[in-house]
Amino acid sequence: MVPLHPQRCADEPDLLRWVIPADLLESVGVVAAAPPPLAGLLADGTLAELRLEPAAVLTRLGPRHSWGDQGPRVRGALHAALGEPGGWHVVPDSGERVGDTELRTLTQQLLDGPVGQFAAAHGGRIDLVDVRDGVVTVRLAGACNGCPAARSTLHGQLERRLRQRYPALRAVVDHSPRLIRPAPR
Amino acid sequence: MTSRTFEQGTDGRPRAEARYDQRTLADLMPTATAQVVSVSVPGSPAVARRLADLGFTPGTVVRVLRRAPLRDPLIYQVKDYEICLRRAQASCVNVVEVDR
Amino acid sequence: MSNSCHESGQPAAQLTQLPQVALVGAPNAGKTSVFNALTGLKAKTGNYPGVTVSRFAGTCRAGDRKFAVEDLPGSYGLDPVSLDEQVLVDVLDGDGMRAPDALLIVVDATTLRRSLGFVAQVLARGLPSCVVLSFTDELLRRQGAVDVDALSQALGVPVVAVVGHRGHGIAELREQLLDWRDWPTPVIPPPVDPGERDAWVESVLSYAGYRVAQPHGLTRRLDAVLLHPLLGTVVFFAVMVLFFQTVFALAAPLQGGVEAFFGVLSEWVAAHVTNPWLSGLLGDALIGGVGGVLVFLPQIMLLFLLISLLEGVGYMSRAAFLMDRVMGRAGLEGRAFVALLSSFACAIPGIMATRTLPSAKDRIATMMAAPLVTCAARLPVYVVLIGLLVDPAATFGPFGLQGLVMFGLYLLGAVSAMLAAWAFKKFGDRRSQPTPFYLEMPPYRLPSPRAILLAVWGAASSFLRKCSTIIVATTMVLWLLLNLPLHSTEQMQATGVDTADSAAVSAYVVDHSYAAEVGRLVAPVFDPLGFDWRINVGVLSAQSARETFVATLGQVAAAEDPEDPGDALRAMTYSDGPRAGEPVFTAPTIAALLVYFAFALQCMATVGVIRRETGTWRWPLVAFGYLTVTAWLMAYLARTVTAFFVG
Repeated sequence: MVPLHPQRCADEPDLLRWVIPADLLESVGVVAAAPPPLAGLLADGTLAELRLEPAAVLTRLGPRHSWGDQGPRVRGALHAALGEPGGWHVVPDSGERVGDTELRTLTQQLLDGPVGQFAAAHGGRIDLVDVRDGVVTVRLAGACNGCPAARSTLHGQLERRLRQRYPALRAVVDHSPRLIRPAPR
Repeated sequence: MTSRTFEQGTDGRPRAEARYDQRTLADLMPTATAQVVSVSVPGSPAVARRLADLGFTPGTVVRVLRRAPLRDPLIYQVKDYEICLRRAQASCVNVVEVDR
Repeated sequence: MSNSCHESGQPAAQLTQLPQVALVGAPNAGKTSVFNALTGLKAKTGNYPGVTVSRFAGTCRAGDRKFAVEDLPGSYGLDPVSLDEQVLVDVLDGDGMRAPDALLIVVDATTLRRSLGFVAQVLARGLPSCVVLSFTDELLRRQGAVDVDALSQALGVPVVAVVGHRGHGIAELREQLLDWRDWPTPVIPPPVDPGERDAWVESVLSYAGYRVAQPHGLTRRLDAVLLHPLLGTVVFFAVMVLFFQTVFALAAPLQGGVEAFFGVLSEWVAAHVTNPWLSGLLGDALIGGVGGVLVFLPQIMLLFLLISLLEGVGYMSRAAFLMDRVMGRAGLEGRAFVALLSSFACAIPGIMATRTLPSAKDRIATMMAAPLVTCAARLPVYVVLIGLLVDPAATFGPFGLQGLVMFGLYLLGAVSAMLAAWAFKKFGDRRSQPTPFYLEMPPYRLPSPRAILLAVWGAASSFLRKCSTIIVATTMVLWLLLNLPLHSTEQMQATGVDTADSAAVSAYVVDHSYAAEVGRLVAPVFDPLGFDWRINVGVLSAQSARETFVATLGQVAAAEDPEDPGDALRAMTYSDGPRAGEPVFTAPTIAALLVYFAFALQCMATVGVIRRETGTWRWPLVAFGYLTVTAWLMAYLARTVTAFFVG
């Protein structure tokens, strides 16, 4: 059975993000056709929308349904459908720039959120410099700069969390004088 | 985690209808490694569920760590921790032996 | 916090009006240290309605608000296979009692892959929940890792990392408690199906960047020796020998100290209190009685210190593993060994330790056996009686004969306990289903000194309470019974007593006391055992607590010869009946007494604890009945056999 768990999406109660293994389904975009049980949920209006994202399936609940009632059904259908990755047909989002936009948003969210807080707590700061072709460039500033331990900690945190949310990430690059090694794996 | 099927040769103890080597955790010697196939406790579904709660679920890899001085009970490593079971319970867990 | 002030202004006075927070988790997950850290050790113990599984509750202050916190019985799952687990489910369902308002799910960070399955089951109940990640220090030390924020995001509930016994993370947990009404809940409850649940756990762990803790190197190396089929057994017996050696050798000087203290106190009273009545009551009854019992405080504290050390380090699970097969012979399991071992200190903690047994049948069998194990309270009785029976200089080979007799009595206790357990298991309720045996092997850990001191203090204070209530009361009553009714000088002179001889007066008073009447009343029962009325009084008074026997005999002897009670005992003769004039403490009588004490359930506290743990008067009555009858029969046998050999 494919590892799978749901997460809520902020401010959108009818949208649910099902986190799946990053290497299971490579494409990103709206799901046009899925294996039977899942397709059935789309057909009968239980689900209004089905989208693939890096390492996640997004499901939008149809009107007059609740996750409390339909959640287990959707989960079961997803398990069945993910068991046959070949049955998924996805209309890819156009162009690579879309991916970069998403990656930029994700990075900014992290820098505004937990990673930024962590840096601040240690007297440092991370600024986003650029996102291009799946490579994120940041600049470490403040007390962190010059401390190799702090830098690798920060770098590691940002990269790991980004990769969870955006597995197509190629590398996180440090724009500070000293270059951090590109992401392994 | 990918699921693979492991086939084993016979171990010289032919059983009536065994298609492949069907063993239980109680049959394994220390340091053997096996994958759980099923848990069946006749007449006591609560005990079967408890064995599952303890980590013995289908697909899980279990390692036999050691035996007590009088050969019973046994300590197994499952889901990153160590648990001691008696033969009576261990024999409810059907496994296939795997190479590490 | 802004919209959650439903109880604004009014300081909640009643415990029941406070928000109820319950701690749930597997055994060994660190629930109790989190509970202690939250409630500041002011736990109230009681029972759950109907069944009598102990209930631990306390209050916790967070900010300006108070919470009622309850430590629920530990379990690996919510499909009950034992009484305690049934209680857990009943509480969560609010079945027969108020359901908690919020849950703290305590989870051992080093066993997350298994523990999240339990979290899934609890979250599926839909109560507001917060996951408390314990042993996070150990996870890091063993090169493991977990991202607490990501874990919280994946689970859909708050997660707080703590190191329970150090108090790390507890402040954060308190802060989290303030917002319990606003805790997020999972959009979809975690799956119930085992396959789907495993997939859920796997996915949550990978999202949280979980890296498994490396196997604990020291544990592996130690277990290679301590659980080795041969070496492990040798070490086990060495540990046991060392255990009792430490208790008895180390306690001796401390006991001497306590004795000396009460001796000085008693002399002071004798010197400064002039009223003979008050002086007798204070000196003989109060100081003599309590002092005679308090002597055992050092030993009890040492026993509890060692037991909680072995428990805290993790050796007790290993001992249970090594002894499981042996206990299996008696129809019990390894954990029962721990309960029986604790009973060497005192049957009360032993009976309380049966809570760890998942099977009700095993619990009953162990409870019925525990009073047979030689507890510390029997020790003073044995010491006094063996002193009368065996010459301290006598040896058997390289061993002192006194020590060998003592060892034999300990062996008798252990063997009869096993036999009793076997019998109760075999002839007990045959319909009940056998419960599975499973026991987690935690890594070896350095126990927190706080937890250990707490266990020792708990034992010491309950022993002191027992002394200050039951034992003081019985010694006082006994003293009065021994010294009443009052006899006028004329009365005594009329019967030919030389009123100038204080010893003769004392002997006369005791011989015509109410106690003597009671002792003579039960004489038909104990006559075949060779007990005279003075021993009967001792045995009867020991019914409340065994140690009292020593105090009583001391009082009786002191009353007859206050100068040298020891000699008085030795010289004691039957005062009436067919054996009048013969010495009382002959070898057959002493043997009968020793064996009587080895078997009889002479401890009201034990009866009370069995009542509390089983929830019915049936079992304490059964235990009392069967042990008293067995004690009489075995004592008769011992007397007959000894008489045969001694001639």
